[in-house]
Amino acid sequence: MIDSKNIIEVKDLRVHFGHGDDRVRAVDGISFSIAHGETLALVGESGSGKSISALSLTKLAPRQATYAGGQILFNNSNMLKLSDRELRKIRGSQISYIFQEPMVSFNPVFTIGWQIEEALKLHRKDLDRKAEIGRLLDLVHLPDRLAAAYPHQMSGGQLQRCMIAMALACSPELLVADEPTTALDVTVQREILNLLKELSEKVGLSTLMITHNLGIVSDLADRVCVMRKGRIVEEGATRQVLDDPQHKYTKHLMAAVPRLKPSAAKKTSPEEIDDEMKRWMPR
Amino acid sequence: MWGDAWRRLRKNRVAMLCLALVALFTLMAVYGELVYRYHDFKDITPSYQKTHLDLAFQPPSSKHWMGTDGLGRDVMSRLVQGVTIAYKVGIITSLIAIPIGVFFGCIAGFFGGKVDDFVVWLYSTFASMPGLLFILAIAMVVGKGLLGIYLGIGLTTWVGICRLVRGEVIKHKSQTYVQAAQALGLGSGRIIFKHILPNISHVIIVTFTLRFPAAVGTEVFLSFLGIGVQDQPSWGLMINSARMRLWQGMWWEMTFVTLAVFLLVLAFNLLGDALRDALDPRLND
Ligand SMILES: Nc1ncnc2c1ncn2[C@@H]1O[C@H](COP(=O)(O)OP(=O)(O)OP(=O)(O)O)[C@@H](O)[C@H]1O
Ligand SMILES: [Mg+2]
Repeated sequence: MIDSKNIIEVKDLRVHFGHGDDRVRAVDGISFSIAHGETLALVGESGSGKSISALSLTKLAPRQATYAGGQILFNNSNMLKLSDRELRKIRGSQISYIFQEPMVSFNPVFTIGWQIEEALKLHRKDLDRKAEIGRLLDLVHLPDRLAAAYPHQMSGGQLQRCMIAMALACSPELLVADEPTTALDVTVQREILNLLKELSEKVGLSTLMITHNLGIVSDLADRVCVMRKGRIVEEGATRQVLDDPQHKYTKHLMAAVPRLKPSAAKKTSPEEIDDEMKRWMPR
Repeated sequence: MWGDAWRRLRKNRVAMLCLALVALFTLMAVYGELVYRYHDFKDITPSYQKTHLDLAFQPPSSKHWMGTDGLGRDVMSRLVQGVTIAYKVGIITSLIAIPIGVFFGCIAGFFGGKVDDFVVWLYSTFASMPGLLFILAIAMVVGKGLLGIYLGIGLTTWVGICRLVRGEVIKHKSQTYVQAAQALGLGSGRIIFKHILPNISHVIIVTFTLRFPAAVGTEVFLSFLGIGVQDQPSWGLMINSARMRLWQGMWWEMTFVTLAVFLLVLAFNLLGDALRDALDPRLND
C-alpha cells in the first residue's frame, strides 16, 4: 500500500540491459518516494541511470530494457504490472515528461499548436481546444500566435516553454523533468527554472527533477537523491545534503560545482569513491 | 498540414504548370475510359480501332494531326485513348504496391524483433523471384489482360518501397519526438501513421512519381509479350508497332507517343518534387 502523503513510491527498482555476463545494471535497486506537491531532485553523473529511472516510472525505458525487479506504486497500482493500455492512460494525463533537448522533442512537420492538441485530444475530449491551447501558451508566457509556428521557427527557450505547456496540457499530478535546461544557455535556463517553480506552486505539482546542476537543486528541490552507478548513495532534505554531505561522492559532486572562488574542498578520485560506495552498500 | 502545403505549392509556378498538365492527362484518361465503355456497351467498333488500309502511314496533316499508323488508324485518337491504360496501370499498381510496402515497412521498422524478421523474410522471398516470371505466373492464373498486369506489377514492386520505408522508420523511431509522443500516451499505431509517416512522406511521393514510368514501361513489355492489353490502344502497343517502322521513315507515331510519355513522366516528377518540398515546412522560409 502506498503512503497517503506520497504520490509515487519506487521500491527496489531494477532495470537491466542485456543478459548474462554483459548485463548492464542501469538501475540497480533504487527506492525513493515523492510526496504530494514536493520536488525531488535526482542528481548524479552521466550514465548513472537517472534517465532510465525516470522513464521507467511509466515503463518508457528503451525496448531492450528488462524490468528485473521492484515496484513502482502510483495511485495504488504497481506501474510495472499494468497493461500497455492502462499505462497509456496514465502517460501524459497523470505523469508527464519534459525532455532534455527541446529542439528535437517536437515533430518537425507539425505546428506547435497541433502537437499540443494531440495531447488534449487524447486525454481531455470535451473542451474548446483552441482556447485551451491559448491558455496553456499564456501560462508559459508565450503569445498564442506561436501555436501556428513550426518547431524550427522557434528558439530553444521558446520550445522548452512549449514543451512545458504540452506537459501541463492534461493537468498531470507528477511532472518528470529530465535535465530540462541542460541544452539551453545560461540566461534562458534561469527563466525556465523560474517558470517551473512558479507553475509547480500555482498548480500544486509534484516534480521529479533530474539534473547535473547543484545550483538548480538548491533552488528548486525539497529533497535530493544522489545517484551513482545505478544506486542511490545519499538521500535527504536539500539543505541537509548540500550543507553537510555524508557520502564521499556527494562531496565530490559539490567540489565539481564551478565557483567564482575556488573552494577549498579536496578533490576525490573515482577509486576512493568506489571504495566508499562498497563500504556504504556492500552487494 | 495539407492546407499549408497547398498554399506553398500555389506559389510555385512550375508546379502549377505541371499540375495543369496532370489535370489535362487525367481528363484525357477519363474521357478515354468513357469512350471505351460507351463503345463496349453498344458493342460497336470505335473509330480509333477501325482499319482503313488505304490511309496507312499518312504523315501528320490537317486531317490527322499526328498522322496514321500501319492500319490507317488516327494516331492522335489512339494516343488519347492510350492515356487511359497508362493511368490505370500507373495508378492501380501504385495503389496496390504502395499501401502494402508502406504498411509492412512501417511495422517492421517500428516494432523490430520478430515482426521485422518476418517482413524482411517476406520481401526477400518476393525479391528473389524474377519479377517477370511472377507476373507471368499471375497472368496464367487470372488470365490475359489488364487484371494480370495490375496484380503482377503491383505485387512485385512493393518490395522497393518497403525497404525504403523500413529504413526511414528505423531512423525516425529513435528520435526524441517519438519518445515525447509515447510519453504523452499515444498508441503505437497513431505514432507510426500519424507522427512518423508524414516525416517520411517524401519517400512515398518520390516512389510514386518514379513508379509511373516504370509501370508504363512494364506494360509496354507485357503487351509486347502478348499477355497485356488486347483490345484497346495502349502506348506499349503503339511504341511496339511504331518501333519496326521507324527506320522506314514513319517517325510520327513513335515521336508523339514518346513525347506523351515524356510529358506525363516529367509532369509527375516535377509535381512530386514540388509537393515534397511543399510538405516540408523546414524548406519554406
Ligand atoms: N538502449 C540502451 N542499451 C543498453 N544500455 C543502455 C541503453 N540506454 C542506457 N543504457 C545504459 O544505462 C545506463 C544509464 O543511462 P541513463 O541514460 O539513465 O544515464 P543518465 O544518468 O541519464 O546520464 P546523463 O546524465 O548523461 O543523461 C548507462 O550507463 C547506459 O550504459
Ligand atoms: Mg539522462
